[in-house]
Amino acid sequence: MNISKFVTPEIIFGKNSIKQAGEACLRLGAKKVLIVSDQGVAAAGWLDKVVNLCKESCLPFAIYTDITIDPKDTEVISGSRSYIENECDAIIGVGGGSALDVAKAIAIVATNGGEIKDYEGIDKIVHPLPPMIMIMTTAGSGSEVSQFSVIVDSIRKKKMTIISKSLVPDIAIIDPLTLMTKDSSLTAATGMDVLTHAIEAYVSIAATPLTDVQAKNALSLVATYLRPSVASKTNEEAKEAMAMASLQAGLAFSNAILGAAHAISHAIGGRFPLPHGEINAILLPYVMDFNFIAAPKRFKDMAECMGIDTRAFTQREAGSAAIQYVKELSADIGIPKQLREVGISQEMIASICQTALEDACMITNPRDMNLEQMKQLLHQVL
Amino acid sequence: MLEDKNEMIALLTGVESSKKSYYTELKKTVDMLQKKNMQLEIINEVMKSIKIDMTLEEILNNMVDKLKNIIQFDRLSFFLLQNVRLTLINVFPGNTFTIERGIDLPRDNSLYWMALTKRQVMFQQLEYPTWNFNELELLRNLKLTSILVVPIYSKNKEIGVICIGRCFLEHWHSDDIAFLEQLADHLAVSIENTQLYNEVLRSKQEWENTFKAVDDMIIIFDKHVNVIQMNDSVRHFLKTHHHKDNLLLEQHYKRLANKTFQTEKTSYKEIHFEDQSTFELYTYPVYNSKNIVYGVIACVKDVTEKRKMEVQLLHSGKLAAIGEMAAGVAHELNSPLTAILGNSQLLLRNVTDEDDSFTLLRDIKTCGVRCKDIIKSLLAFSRQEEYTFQSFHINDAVKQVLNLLKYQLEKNQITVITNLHEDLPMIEGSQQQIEQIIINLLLNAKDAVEVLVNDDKEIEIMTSLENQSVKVSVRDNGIGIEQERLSKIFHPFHTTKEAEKGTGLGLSVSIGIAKTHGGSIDVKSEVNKGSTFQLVLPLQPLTKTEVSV
Repeated sequence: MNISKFVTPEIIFGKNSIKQAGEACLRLGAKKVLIVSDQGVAAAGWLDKVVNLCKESCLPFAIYTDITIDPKDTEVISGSRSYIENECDAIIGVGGGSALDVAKAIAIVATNGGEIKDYEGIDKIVHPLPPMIMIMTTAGSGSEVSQFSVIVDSIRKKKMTIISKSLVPDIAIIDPLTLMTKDSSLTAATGMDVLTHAIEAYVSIAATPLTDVQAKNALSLVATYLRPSVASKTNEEAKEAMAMASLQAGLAFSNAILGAAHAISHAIGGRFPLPHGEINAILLPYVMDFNFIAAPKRFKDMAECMGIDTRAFTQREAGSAAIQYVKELSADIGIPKQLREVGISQEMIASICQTALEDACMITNPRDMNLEQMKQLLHQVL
Repeated sequence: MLEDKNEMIALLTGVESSKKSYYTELKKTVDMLQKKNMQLEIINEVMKSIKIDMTLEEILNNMVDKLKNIIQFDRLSFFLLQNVRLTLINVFPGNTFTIERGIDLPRDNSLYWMALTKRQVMFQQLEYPTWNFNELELLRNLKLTSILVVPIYSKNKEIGVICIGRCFLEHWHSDDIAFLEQLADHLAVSIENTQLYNEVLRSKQEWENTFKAVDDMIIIFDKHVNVIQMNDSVRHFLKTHHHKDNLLLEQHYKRLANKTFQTEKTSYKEIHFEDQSTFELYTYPVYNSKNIVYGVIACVKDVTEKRKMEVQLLHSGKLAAIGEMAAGVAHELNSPLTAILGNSQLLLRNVTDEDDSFTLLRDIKTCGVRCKDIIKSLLAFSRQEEYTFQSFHINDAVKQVLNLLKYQLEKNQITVITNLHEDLPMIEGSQQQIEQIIINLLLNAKDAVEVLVNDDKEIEIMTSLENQSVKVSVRDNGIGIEQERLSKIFHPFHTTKEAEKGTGLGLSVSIGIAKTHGGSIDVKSEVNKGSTFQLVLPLQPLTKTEVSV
């Protein structure tokens, strides 16, 4: 790739940066915002925090929180109805990947009409979206900076990937303090999601020097801080590092796109309500193993980023060390090793593969993968 | 496959896509609005420039001129639906006629008809048409590559189609098509209005012509009795009559119109003008849909001639009755008189001149003959005989009469001067009847001069030719006629004579005869100085009729 583009929102990073929410909206010219969040975030108190910030800024608002994990197209429909009925002209997303993806999807349907499935795929959005401010509270999805929105088609039981530059929010607010309310399993799963983002973006065939920097940095941060972050809710240093890791991994994958692990994980997530980060974590070592021959040098780089001394290693050994490292990290923070453990059975593999091969993330996977190869891979993960 | 993949990656990494910006969208919207605005302006311009009294041709020229500014096209044809036929009205430019103006388009297999009946814009690429419609070859001959057929219709009816063609290969923009549809809608309204206007105008003109054509005077008033409209007859009257007459007319019609407004009923009045003409004036109320009188129409009719005819008809009736009676009396008297005459003659044969009874018998016979003559003239008066028109010389008639009356006139010491024009042409008519007129005139003259005691009694009779008419004048130096009696002397039974001397029929019968000859009798008279009666007979009477009254 000789020509590349690096797209980012305005990024506001730092402790207590959430306080910028109301003012940031006003700066974007909002008259009334729809605050999109989910019950978990509301329970953690972040929704109230944002609501109060809006009140302080004298910014009228409406709230939509009917969002489940792996959000559905039906939730998007009622969300966009709420946006239109309340005559909103901007959107604040507060939460993890689910809330932010729904916030983006609501923005699409509210201004472009139709159903969210009309926009599945790449660059299908015709009209500009309303100003979007994303407040990240999970350090995982990278949705606050990415051009992705992943929504489940409730009829086809499939995660639809919607990719468009228009989905890159206008402002991303990343406040590491928001991560302190997460429990350890969520921290673990989202942390592994960050790791998967970084690794897949780094070996993506669309990677560029700009994304590489982000990916490698994210990789190092995860290697160093995920364990302490899972271990302690109140480790501010670890939280801040993981927030930065999430942001950088997000920037990397948003611009370099992902690979087979995400493609398969989307396929599984569409049918079973399983934590996205966890599935990614289970799949990641196997996908890395499969992809190794496509970019051995990059695998060696990754091993170095993880803090492994590779000077005496061949590329193969370095790659294996990186894969081993991922497995160990997963094990350390309590991620299951096999898909079987989360309820996936042999019979499901064929249909999962079918769906996964069609996923946009497959395009940038460094090694071509056919149906047989994917089935074989999944058999191993099972 | 590889290309596809690279393309996808380019899209994913954003090289070929960008975040949609409100600014660019706004700019697009503004551009679109500007174009729309321009189109609206043009529609407005076209509609503004269409006047209701324009012809269809003018409307079309106007539209085409403006249309050229926003839509590129090489040919435009316009068809109008007339009596279930789609007829070519015009083509622009004018040298691209494929069929003659006014020719109908066959309905079968026609793209134009389809556009009209489906009320849908039809598009065809002429090189690769979707079907082989009728007009295809003709349009291809014009080297057009694509056409749009736009129907013109209003809610209620189809009006026609416009076909717009291009020679160059360029895409028809959906905006253009939408615009043409809008323009067609407006055009439909204009054409409908124009057609309605012309219909109204035509019926208005019909009414106006009717109004004008009436010879009677018609005046229309509003409820304040102001004149709203009058026809040409009124103007003519006002122009040709005296101010006094005009005032009289106005006075009458205003009074009568007011009356009609008050009573809501038709009113009538007869008006007599200075020139002896008589007019009948009627005023009629005009009701609106709520049955309220909102205007009055006055109708003024010249009935002078009608009145004269009526009088004459009356006279004729009277004369006929008298004639009938005279004839009856004459017939009844004829038989006893025959007996008296016959017997007196028989008795006279048997007596000599010296006989005592001779004088008595001779007087009986003389009186009998005289009675017979009277009966004969009574029968003549009652027109029991038929008269035939023939050529005769007026002087002959005069001489004949003078011979008849010579004795009578001389006996009364009246000097008769005859002054007959020698070179008069023959005239057509009944000599016997004309003689009757002259007899009447001479007898009247005789009566007029007879009263004179000391002066010389003088009657002059002369004939002349003037203005294609032959004139017979009878002048006397008698007592004359008073001015106020002059107009009555022609009335039947008008007489100044004692009952046994005259019937008062002479002049009325005379004027009747003169008229059947297309002529007239004029009179000039001065009291104590005399009168001149003049019989005027045209050389060419208007009608040659057999007179049997």
